[in-house]
Amino acid sequence: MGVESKSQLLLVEGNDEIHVIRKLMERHDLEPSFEITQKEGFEELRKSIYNEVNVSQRSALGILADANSSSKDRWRSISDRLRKADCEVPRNLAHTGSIFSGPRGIRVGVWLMPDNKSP
Amino acid sequence: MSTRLHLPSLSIEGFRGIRSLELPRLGRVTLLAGKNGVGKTSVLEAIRLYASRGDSRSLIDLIETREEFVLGDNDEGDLVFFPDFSSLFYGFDQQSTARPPPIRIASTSESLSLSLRLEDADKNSDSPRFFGSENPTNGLRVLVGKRSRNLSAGPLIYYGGTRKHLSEANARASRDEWPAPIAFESLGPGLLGNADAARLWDAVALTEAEDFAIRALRLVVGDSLERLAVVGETPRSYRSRGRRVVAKLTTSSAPIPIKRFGDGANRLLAVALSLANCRNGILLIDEVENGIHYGIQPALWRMIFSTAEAANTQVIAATHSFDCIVGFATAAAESHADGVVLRLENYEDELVAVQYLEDSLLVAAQQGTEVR
Repeated sequence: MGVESKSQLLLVEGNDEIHVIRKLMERHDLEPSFEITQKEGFEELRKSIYNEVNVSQRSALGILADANSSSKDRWRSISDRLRKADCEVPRNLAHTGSIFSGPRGIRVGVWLMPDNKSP
Repeated sequence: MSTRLHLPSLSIEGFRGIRSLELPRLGRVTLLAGKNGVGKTSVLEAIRLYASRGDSRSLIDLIETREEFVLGDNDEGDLVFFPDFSSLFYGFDQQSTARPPPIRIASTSESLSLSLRLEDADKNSDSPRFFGSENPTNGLRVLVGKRSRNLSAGPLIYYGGTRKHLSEANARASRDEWPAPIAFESLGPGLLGNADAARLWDAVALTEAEDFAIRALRLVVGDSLERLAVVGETPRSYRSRGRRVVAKLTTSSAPIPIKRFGDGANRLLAVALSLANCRNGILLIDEVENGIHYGIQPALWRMIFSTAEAANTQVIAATHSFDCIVGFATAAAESHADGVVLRLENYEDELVAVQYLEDSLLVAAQQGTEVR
């Protein structure tokens, strides 16, 4: 594949999400081209954002989190951390998920379960 | 107490392998991380030149460290070494006659900047010539703020001898005094030799800085460390053991050579004495983790943070070690002093610095995220 797995990372909250992603990929016959790391909860995921954006040679970072009680609140706390890491974060999360760029050419994507808008 | 840093930020142009580098923020204690050969040592060298205000001794030290000499004839026709100033300049090509762009090292706008320009040697003068060549070696023009002076590439080491010399042609220097250097000490990656340890000790003996160094060393050797002394004489023959540092412990009646405590204690003594030697100045440490067991990294950094703050010293160190960064993060979180980790890396042919402040470092240490 020619891609170092560590250069592309998907951050998730827990093991359930890892299984969901693996199943989805199997169903669509996708080869894993990235690593998945679970952070044991949203708070640890949020705290890790700055460091994960800045890992040496990182080219892509995905963030998959649960909207929990409010997708707006979740988006605000994720985007605050991303801005600290010099990412060009849009004001609102697109309903199809948002992809934007960060420092040193890194691409960052965010998806809030289930559909980026509810609840 | 003054808390102003000598270098709140740093910009380097045209030095060694660095075409251009901006470090927008340095801390009271700054740790440089990054791959081998990325330029960490060059950054430390640039700071050393800056602090010395382009002093010829520092220039020669830098050239000696990397053995950048050229061989040529001196006035008497003897074969001697001359310093190769061109090796300090980014992208200098021995084959090309084009002059490389100047070196510029600066901090904030209100502080003095340092510039170095390679000067064409005057072919009519008695400048030294390269061995087997008619080309005289290049001189160096040093500019600090608005003042400037020239350094000629005088013979550095007589063949087979140890005499060092570099003449400073002050003819065109300004009448004003040359700006005072910033006090600094520079520790390389190797263990401190007896002679250097004794030199550092001489400068603090029977001053309050002595207590300060002992207190610092106690953080690692333990409270049984009572006093330090230097014994022995300057070596005059191969039988002489030279001057060396010995310690008095409460638990032992006889003095114990500091070397018996191992490489870690040697390194810690070097750091503690150097800190004591550059109050209100700058301490530079390359490969700071050398000789230090990972388990005592936090103690090393606690010592550095607490003494750096108390002595108003700014510390800039380089490392390859993740344990070292974790130790740094732990000490930084406990200290009032400001700790910053900068990872140097190449991005699209430019050297860039990725900055980690204390909160993100602590998270990285807890989560085991790679920051090197």
